[in-house]
Amino acid sequence: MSAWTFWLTTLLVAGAVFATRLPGLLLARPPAGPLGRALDVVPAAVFATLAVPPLLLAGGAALTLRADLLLAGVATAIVADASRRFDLAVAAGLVMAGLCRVVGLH
Amino acid sequence: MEEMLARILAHERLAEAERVGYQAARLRAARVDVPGGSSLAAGFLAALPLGLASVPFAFAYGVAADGAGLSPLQAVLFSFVVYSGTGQLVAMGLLGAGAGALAAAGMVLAVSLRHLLLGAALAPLLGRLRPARRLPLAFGLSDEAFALSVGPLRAGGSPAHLAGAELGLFVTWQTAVAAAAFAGGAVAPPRWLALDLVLPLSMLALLVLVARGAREGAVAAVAAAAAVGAALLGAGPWATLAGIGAGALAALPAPEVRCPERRSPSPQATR
Repeated sequence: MSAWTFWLTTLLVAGAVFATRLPGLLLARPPAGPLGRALDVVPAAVFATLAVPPLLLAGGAALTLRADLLLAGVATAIVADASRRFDLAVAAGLVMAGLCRVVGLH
Repeated sequence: MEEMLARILAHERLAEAERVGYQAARLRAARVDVPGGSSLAAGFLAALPLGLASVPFAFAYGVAADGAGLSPLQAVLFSFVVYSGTGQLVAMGLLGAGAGALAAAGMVLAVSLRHLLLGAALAPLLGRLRPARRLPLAFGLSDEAFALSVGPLRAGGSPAHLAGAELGLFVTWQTAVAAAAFAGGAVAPPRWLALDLVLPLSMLALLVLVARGAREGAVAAVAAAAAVGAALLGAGPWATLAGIGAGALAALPAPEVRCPERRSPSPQATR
C-alpha cells in the first residue's frame, strides 16, 4: 500500500472512530427523563451484549452451545455471585474452559 | 417587575437544584463496588488482565492487515492512530476485499456508533472535568475501559481511574498488535489458555457484580437476546449496537425499581 493511500485511509478511519467517541463525553449536563433512564442502564446492556453472544455463538452466526463456553460461563456467574470477586470469577471461568478443552469437551 | 424576575430566577434555581439532586441520588442509588479503587494506577492495573483478551484479536488483526497489503510497520502505525479493535478489523477486512478508504471509514463509523451511548453514559460521571481533558479520554474510550471504570465512577471515584484503564488497555493492545504484526501470524496462543474467553467472561462477571434489581436484569436479558438475534440474522458487528440499543429502549417505559441491597463484596473485591 502506498504511503499516500495508507495515511489517507488511516486518518479517515481514525476520524470516524473519534467522531463517535467524543460527542457523548462532551455532554455538559446529565440527561434527565427518558434519555437519562436509558443511559442509566447502558452499562448492564453493554456487559450483556459483550458477554452472552460470544458464549452462545462462539463468534459465528449460528447457535453452537459448546460445552466449554457454557460451563465457563456458568462457573464465572456462580463464582461472581458467591464471592463478589471479579478476579476469582474470571479465573474460575478460564480454568473451567481450559479443563474442558484439555479433555476434549468442546 | 424586578420582583417577578427574581421569583422566576429563584424558581429556576430551585428546579435546577432539584434536577441535580435527583441525578446525584440516582447515581448514589446505582452505587456499585467493583475491584480496583479509583486512582490512575488502580485503573491501569485493573486493565492489564482484561488486556489479555486482546491477544487473539490482535493476531487476527495482524493477519488481516497482512492480507490488506500493509507492512508490519504500517499495521502498527494504523493501530496507534485508529485504536479501535473492531474498527481496525472491519477496516482491514474491507481493504483486503478491495474497498476504498471512504467505504472503510463509513463502515467503521457505523460499527462504532455504540460509543456515542457509552460516552453519554460516562459524561455525567466525569463531574466538572474540562472539555480539553475529555479529549484524550475520548481517544481511549472502549467497551472494556467503560466496563472497568463505570463502577468506580458511579461510586464517586475520580476520572483518573478511566484514564488509567484506557492507558492499560492501550499499552496491552498495542504490544499485542506489534507482536502479531511482526510475527506475521505465525505464532498464536494455545487454545487451552482460553484467552479468547477473557473478554466475554470478564463482561459476564461484571454483569453479575454490577447489575442490580429487576429493571437492570430485564435490560440485560433484552440486550443479550437482541444481540444474539441480530447475530443470528447476520448483523455481524451491528449486533452489539442492536443489543445495547434494545436494552436502553427497554428501560424507557418502566420507572426505576430496585431490589433490596445485596450483601457487600468482600474487602478484597474493593481494594
